[in-house]
Amino acid sequence: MTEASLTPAMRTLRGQLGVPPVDPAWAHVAEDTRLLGWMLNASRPWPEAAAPVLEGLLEAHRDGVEDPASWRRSRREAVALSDNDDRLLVLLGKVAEAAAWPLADAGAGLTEVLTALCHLRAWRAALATGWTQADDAEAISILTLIGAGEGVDAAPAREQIPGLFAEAHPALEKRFVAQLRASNAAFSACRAEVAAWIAGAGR
Amino acid sequence: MAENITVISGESLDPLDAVTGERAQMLVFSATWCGPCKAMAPAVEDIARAYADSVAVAKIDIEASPALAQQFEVRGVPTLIVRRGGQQVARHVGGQSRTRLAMMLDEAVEGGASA
Repeated sequence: MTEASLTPAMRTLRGQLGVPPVDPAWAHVAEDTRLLGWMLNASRPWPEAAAPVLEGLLEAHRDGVEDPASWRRSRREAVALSDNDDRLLVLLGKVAEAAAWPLADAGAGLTEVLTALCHLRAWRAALATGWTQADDAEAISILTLIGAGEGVDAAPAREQIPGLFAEAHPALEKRFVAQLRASNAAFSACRAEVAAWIAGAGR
Repeated sequence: MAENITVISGESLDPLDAVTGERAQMLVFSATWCGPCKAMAPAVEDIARAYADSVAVAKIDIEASPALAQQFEVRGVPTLIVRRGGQQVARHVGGQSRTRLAMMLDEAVEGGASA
């Protein structure tokens, strides 16, 4: 499909729905590669530290790069990105790690990118609630101590942990639950969005 | 299951040793109830195919092979162990991407293929 091949009715509808114009550079690539490109683009915005790696992967897939050495170089760059203290860069690095392979003859190609993308979207949804990486570290630390039975005779049952968290740190627990709900909803929505892309491509 | 993966269903690695030859081995300890193991399975299959010339891969269910899991001190799943000449040369607990698996094998397998 190219922009020129669209009927006026379809062009108008796409405009109404805010569907971006067809990129001619992607118009003739295989459907699975277009999906991978769509998922990579769905991981935007890219901070400065991540952009060169992800831009490079987009181009490599679009141009059908076959050189194994080039892909190995991409994988090393992806790992360098995900070996990071900033969780956002870690998750973008995971997207890059997943995408740093040619799609041909790789069963895991698209599922790994999907999983990495949805984890990234989930984290961004958590951040949008005001949750921070420091909050996350604090919550994990508290929950770990509660789970281990710190300061009590016996470790609590799993179902007791949320109540103990709320009792000891009510403000943090409230924000924790909010970000968790947002995060879970974003993860599910991400999978649904990709499923809709595939269903649309198949029609 | 991919043709490049040996499924161990007992308490011996003999079926894997029989097909290993000069290659290294990667043992993948998993469990039927383990979500990360299922999520990682396609990556393991891809890696087993890509490294077929240099690494023999085995999948071991810790509930079907508890003595093997104990012998290799498996405390959680998935656990990945790379062996060469009967010696453990790398170990990782938890899910890994294909990229991390490939790098682990590249580092662990001296002279091994780079996928």
